[in-house]
Amino acid sequence: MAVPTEYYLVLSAGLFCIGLAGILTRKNALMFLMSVELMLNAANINFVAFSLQWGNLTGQTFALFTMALAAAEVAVGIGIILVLYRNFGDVDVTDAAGMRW
Amino acid sequence: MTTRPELRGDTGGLLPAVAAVGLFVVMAAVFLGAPVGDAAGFPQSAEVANESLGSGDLTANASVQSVNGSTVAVVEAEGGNESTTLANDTGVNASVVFAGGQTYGVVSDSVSVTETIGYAMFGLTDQMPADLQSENFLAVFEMIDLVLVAALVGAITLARREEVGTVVSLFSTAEDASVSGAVAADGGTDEDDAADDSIGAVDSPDGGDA
Amino acid sequence: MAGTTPFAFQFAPAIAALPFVSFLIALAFGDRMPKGGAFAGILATAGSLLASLWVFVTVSGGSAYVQDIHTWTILDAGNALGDINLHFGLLLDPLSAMMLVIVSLIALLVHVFSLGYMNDEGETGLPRYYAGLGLFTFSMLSFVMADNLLMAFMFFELVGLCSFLLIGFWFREDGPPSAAKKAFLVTRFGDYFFLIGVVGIIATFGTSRFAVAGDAAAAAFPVEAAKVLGVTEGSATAVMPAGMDPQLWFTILGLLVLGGVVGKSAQFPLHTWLPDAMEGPTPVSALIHAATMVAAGVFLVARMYGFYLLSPTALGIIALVGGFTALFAATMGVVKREIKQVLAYSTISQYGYMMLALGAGGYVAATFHLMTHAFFKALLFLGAGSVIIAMHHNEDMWDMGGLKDKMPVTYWTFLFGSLALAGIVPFSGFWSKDEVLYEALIHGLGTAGTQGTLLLVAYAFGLLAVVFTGFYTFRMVFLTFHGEPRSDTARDPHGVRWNVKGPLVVLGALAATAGFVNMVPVDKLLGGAGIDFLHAWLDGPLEATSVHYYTDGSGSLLYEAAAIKGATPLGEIGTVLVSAAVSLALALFGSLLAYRLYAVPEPVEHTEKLGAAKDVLYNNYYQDEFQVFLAERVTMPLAKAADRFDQGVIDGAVNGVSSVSLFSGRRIKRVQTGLVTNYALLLTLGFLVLVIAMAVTGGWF
Repeated sequence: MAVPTEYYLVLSAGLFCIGLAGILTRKNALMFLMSVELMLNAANINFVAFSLQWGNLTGQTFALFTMALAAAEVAVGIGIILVLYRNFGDVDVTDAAGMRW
Repeated sequence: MTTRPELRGDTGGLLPAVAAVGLFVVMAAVFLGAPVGDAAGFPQSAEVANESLGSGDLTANASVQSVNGSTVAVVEAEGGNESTTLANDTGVNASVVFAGGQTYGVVSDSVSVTETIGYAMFGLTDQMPADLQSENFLAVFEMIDLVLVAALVGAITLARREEVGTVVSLFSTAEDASVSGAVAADGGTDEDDAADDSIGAVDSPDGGDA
Repeated sequence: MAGTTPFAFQFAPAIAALPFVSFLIALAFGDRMPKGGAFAGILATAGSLLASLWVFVTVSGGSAYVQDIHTWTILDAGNALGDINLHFGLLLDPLSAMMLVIVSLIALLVHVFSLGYMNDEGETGLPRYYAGLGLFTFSMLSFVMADNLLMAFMFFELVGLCSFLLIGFWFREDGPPSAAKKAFLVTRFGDYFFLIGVVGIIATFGTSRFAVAGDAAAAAFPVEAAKVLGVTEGSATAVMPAGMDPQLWFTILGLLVLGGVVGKSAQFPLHTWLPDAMEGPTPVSALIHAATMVAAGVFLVARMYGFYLLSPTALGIIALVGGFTALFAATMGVVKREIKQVLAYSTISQYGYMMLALGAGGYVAATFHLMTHAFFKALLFLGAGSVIIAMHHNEDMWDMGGLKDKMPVTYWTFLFGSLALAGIVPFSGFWSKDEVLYEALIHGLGTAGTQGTLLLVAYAFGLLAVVFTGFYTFRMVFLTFHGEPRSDTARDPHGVRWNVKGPLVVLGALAATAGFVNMVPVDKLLGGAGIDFLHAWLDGPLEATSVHYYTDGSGSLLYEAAAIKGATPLGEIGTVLVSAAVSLALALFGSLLAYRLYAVPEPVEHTEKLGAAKDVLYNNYYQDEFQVFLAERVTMPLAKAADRFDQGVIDGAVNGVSSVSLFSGRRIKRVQTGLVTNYALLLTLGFLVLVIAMAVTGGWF
């Protein structure tokens, strides 16, 4: 008995919202980045679930590429956090609030 | 010393968390109510070869045999046995099937999802099984390659320390660094922290109404 | 008017265009020209004079010319009036032809005189001066030729502007710019009513034309008005406001236009600007403030006479204002110290006579006095200019004296002008002033009711003013030219050249002889021999502007519409002789009184004996102070209230709109806190709201 696709969707929604909660409430930049990764993976689950739904492998292949992209994005993100640390002395995202009114 | 879990009070209060939870509730409600339908699933096996053996139901008289290193379907008839080569190899999964008023000898092979994904990534769409399709991802594969390289280079550029008087660029090397070893954009040393603190106190980090 | 248009008329626009070209030349090239643009002006006005004489001769031959030159718009009145045609056009009939000659002649003489007054005295800024003169001449000539009231109003304003520019010529001193502003503002006050009158006339009649050619389809508003009142036959459409009685409305329109006339011709109460206008150069005073611009008001009434004759009330007011002004100004001229001031008050007084004549129905008398006054007053001003040059620009008569031996040409021409002004036979002023008084007398005696009494009262004022006129005129002559010199400059005056004396001689001759064109007493004595040439001349080709339509005989507008009749109690010859004798006697009385008091070697200030009365007269009956009081106490608070309304309500509304934007911006900008987590929160909330909205409207649940 296959798992109905809706449950995969709810799982991915849950994962997405956990990642979102992390972005909204975390002050440490590295935790922020981890939350972003969570959201990306939630989308990946969605891809794979629908790949099974339609019987087409496009979804799974695309999920692979998304993971590669996530890795690239994290690499650049870590670089940015490094520069942030150098300029503000801390990896607190709430420190960099200069572009305000 | 805490006796019970407490919420961190300095991260925007309850609203962000409530927003996230609310979004989850809405999305779950939408997804569970959506008419998704039955999943198609992946086929367990796929046809590799399909030979017609004759009209009518001949399954009682037909069998599959291995002859001379190939798989053959033999139909026992009055005049003699009729052999139809099904595959040039042994050890394949062959059977005789009656469908649509005709009898067929079918060779089926197990279908591998990862194998098909590999075919898709390299653009070998004609080697993919007929009933497990995917799009041609060759271009995307190349693009991802480029993106990864770019990300690597970008990360290293960002990570490189700026010396005083230079600007970090793609091809700047260690010789551009000044003798003093001072860094242009550093977090600051202990002596500078005192000066930075007085400046930093003006920019209040909570970002509320100033 | 049959046949082709005479070439004189086709060439007529050049009369005004030539001075305009000289204005442009003086502005553009004046600083490169040897005399600062004078020769361009002299050539232009000479050309205008020749063209005007040509037009004069053609009109004498019996043709008149009414022609639209340029239509600038056609409005749709939307009611019974139909289309309203706003245009520039020319009206060349005897009145305008005569005035064209007068204006261009005096302009030419003033240009020549300016060579002596301005150029030879080493004045600077001459291109501006000659440009101003050229623009003025253009405007005045266009005003004279105007065939409709709107065009006349436009050029009326333009001459006012030129007067402002020329009075304030020496703008770096304190006096002239202030005098220029005063002149402009006081005349502008009257012109406001004039403008309302113009708009009222156009709205009532659909046209503001003074006259049309015999076979034209358009209508002239005086003729239309006469038809509306039933004075002449024919039907006409006119739209009255709110069903007002036509007679009352026409009177109101006439009085509104009279506002501009009173301002421009310096009648009481808008006379205060003219004495101060003497701050300008003397040739300007001669041209503008003696002979031509102030004549524009009187000329306008004469031009619209067919309309004014329809309302006896307006005529009575004109006569009363004129008579009163004549006396009022003459009393003030008696005590002045400066020669130009005496002449300024004299101008106000003499224009009062012209208004008296017009109000009493003496159209020919008013026009005659306009002509002679232009000549002798310009002569007197130019003579005063010559004296001022000689006295190194000292105008105080008490510093002069004994100039007649040193400046004979000036003296004799000035004397001719003074004799004309005082009204001594046989100089031109006598004939014209006498006819004015005669017309006022007989119409006052012959008209019934208050109208007649009004005219007689005005006549009495005018008659009394004759005494004062003679007195102040000869006081001026004797103080300036007779007796012993009272200062060093008078002992050794600056010489003047031919460019000053030439115009004086020309005008002197005219002042002596111009009266002979209309010697009404002699004509009546000879039993109607027809030597009243001006009368016959003005009875010209255009029916609507001819004297017999206006005033002659029992079918004229004067009798039919205004019910003003003439009565000659002593018979025609007797009345005219008695009237002439009385006015001559009074003039001689005034002149001889001045002779007794001032034609002595060492005259004293006899006017001191008047005591407190002299102070009142010297301070112009405190009219200037009164007008300043009106401006400060009445107009200024109104202006301040209007300004508060403008700043508070109108600007306030606009500022309020902007302040809403600023305020809301100041509050909304606080959303940008700079914290990336806040932005993410806003994104999430927005997304949430959108999804819920789409779900609810799309029926996802």
